[in-house]
Amino acid sequence: MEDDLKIIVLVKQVPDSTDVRLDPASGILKRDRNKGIANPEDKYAVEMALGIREKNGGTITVLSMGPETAKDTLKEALAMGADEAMLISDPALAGSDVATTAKVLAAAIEAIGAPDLILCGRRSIDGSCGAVGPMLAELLKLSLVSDVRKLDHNAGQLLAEQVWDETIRVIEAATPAVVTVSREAKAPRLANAMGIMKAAKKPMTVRALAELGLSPDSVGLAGAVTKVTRVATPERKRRVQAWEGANPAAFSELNQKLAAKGLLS
Amino acid sequence: MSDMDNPWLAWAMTQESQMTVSGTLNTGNEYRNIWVFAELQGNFVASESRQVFNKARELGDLLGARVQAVLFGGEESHAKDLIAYGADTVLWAQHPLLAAPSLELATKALGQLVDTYKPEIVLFGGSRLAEDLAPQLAVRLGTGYIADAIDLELDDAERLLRVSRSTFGGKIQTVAVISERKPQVALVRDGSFREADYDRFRAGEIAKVDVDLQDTDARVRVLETRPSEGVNLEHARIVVCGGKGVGKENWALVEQLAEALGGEVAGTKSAVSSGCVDASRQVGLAGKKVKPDLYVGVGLSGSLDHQGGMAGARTIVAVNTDREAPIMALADYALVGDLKETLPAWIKTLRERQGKRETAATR
Repeated sequence: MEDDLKIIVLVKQVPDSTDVRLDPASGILKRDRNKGIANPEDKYAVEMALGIREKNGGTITVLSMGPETAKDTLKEALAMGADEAMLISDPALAGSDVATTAKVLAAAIEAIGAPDLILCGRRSIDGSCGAVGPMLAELLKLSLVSDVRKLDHNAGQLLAEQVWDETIRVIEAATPAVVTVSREAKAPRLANAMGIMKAAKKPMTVRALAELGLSPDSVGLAGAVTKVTRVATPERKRRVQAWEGANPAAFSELNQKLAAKGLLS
Repeated sequence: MSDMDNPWLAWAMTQESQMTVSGTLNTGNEYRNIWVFAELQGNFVASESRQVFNKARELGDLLGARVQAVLFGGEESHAKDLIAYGADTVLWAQHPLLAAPSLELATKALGQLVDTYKPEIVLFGGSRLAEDLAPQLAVRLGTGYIADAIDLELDDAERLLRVSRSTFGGKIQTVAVISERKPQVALVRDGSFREADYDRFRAGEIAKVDVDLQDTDARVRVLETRPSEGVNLEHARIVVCGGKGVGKENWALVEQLAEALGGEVAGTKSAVSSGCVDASRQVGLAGKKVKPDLYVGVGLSGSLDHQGGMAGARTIVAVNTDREAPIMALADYALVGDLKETLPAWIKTLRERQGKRETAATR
């Protein structure tokens, strides 16, 4: 048993996407700003970390960058079984692009100190691009194993099953490493009442930028190398042709339309 | 009168500066030319890479820049293929360690080549390797990275690449630029552009380039590659996807529809969590991204997560009771009504059609 295995799991709070609609008048996305959820794949990463800790011992620190509300997401991960949490929160971080986000997270990881394993979901559901994991590995000069559905750790060696297009790759890599977790991994456990009670007593630190040695103008909108120059809600390119009820004429018309596009064999 | 006030001299100087960039390889200090990272899949140039060439040519012509493909490993025939797809130059690195794509070696080799030959823009197709490689390269070079481009335009006065992205399942479109850093690194989302045609009469040059790699650079080792148990949904031509509105009791209808259409069965997040379908068939941002010719969404509202996985489908049919469901904004056709009534009736007409065709064929 290596009881000093140090695992950091990145969790991101994202808008709940189950019921997002456009406001027909303004064309703006209607979302309840108070309602954030843990990025689903990040919970898979927490579950994977718990599995590794069960076999190897060690500690799990969950780390997030975001507004104060992200504490809820961290608490959820603590209730699942993580040991401690850190939130990087600073008004200057607003508008950070993906490279800046990775830079801040890398600084936070260095502040927590030499982990053996860094886990996160492969992608976040709020329009992100799956780049945080690769960028973090590059910044920290660590190996990256992306889209992993199964992970074992044994004496500093990782054995991973990586989803790679239509194949599965069995990968061997030495720790420390960054592993991004696939949706095909073991489904995350639900936090139970006991977990939630325990979570309230687990340590949660909130750090500002200055404590990470980063200046405000190197992050956020000011530090972003990529700049968004235009945001638009595209017009509906398609106009739906709809048929009501089980009307036989509808099916033959639909079938004809599909056949005309060569879609029916 | 200064030099620049003499139009002929100014013209001659422009010509001269163009000479340095229009040589086969850029050896000047300015970032010039458009690179396409060309990946091989088996013995062919990957589809994702081929999708980038037409757009790269268009941008190159606007900038007066060369389109240069970067090829790792492979044969001379592959380099010639890249010229036929639209490359003016192929930078061909034949280092033995680059024979099979490894993320660490590819990042290192590409980083060295960018440092030496300074491209202005580096484009990647949306392949599995590139999704890891492109962001790593951008960080290594200290430049910016824009993923999942659905369109690329040029601000030719500023020589800035304007990258369109679609977020929140197509509801919001943003345009982003990488300002003040070079090269501009972007990855094109698979399916955004048509594959370039093969023109075997196109002329171009093959430039062999050197990279410095060691065995020890590869810390991650692939011990084994095996086919995944799941289906290859990403490349399926027809996908029938069921959602929360279907429920376990009616799931057989989704399977029957898929069979009648000759397509693959898939499910939303909630269909997977309710045990209707295996997680390997989940469509969404957090699951598989599909881009079939025909996508039928049954009993699903079209959450952002889901739209992120299917918005690239060519033709979309929605089967839903709710005419106002978000999926309707994406759909071309919709059957509005109780799926317990509409689906069996539709399946019946599809089977009849099939039956008629088979009878006709045997006659």
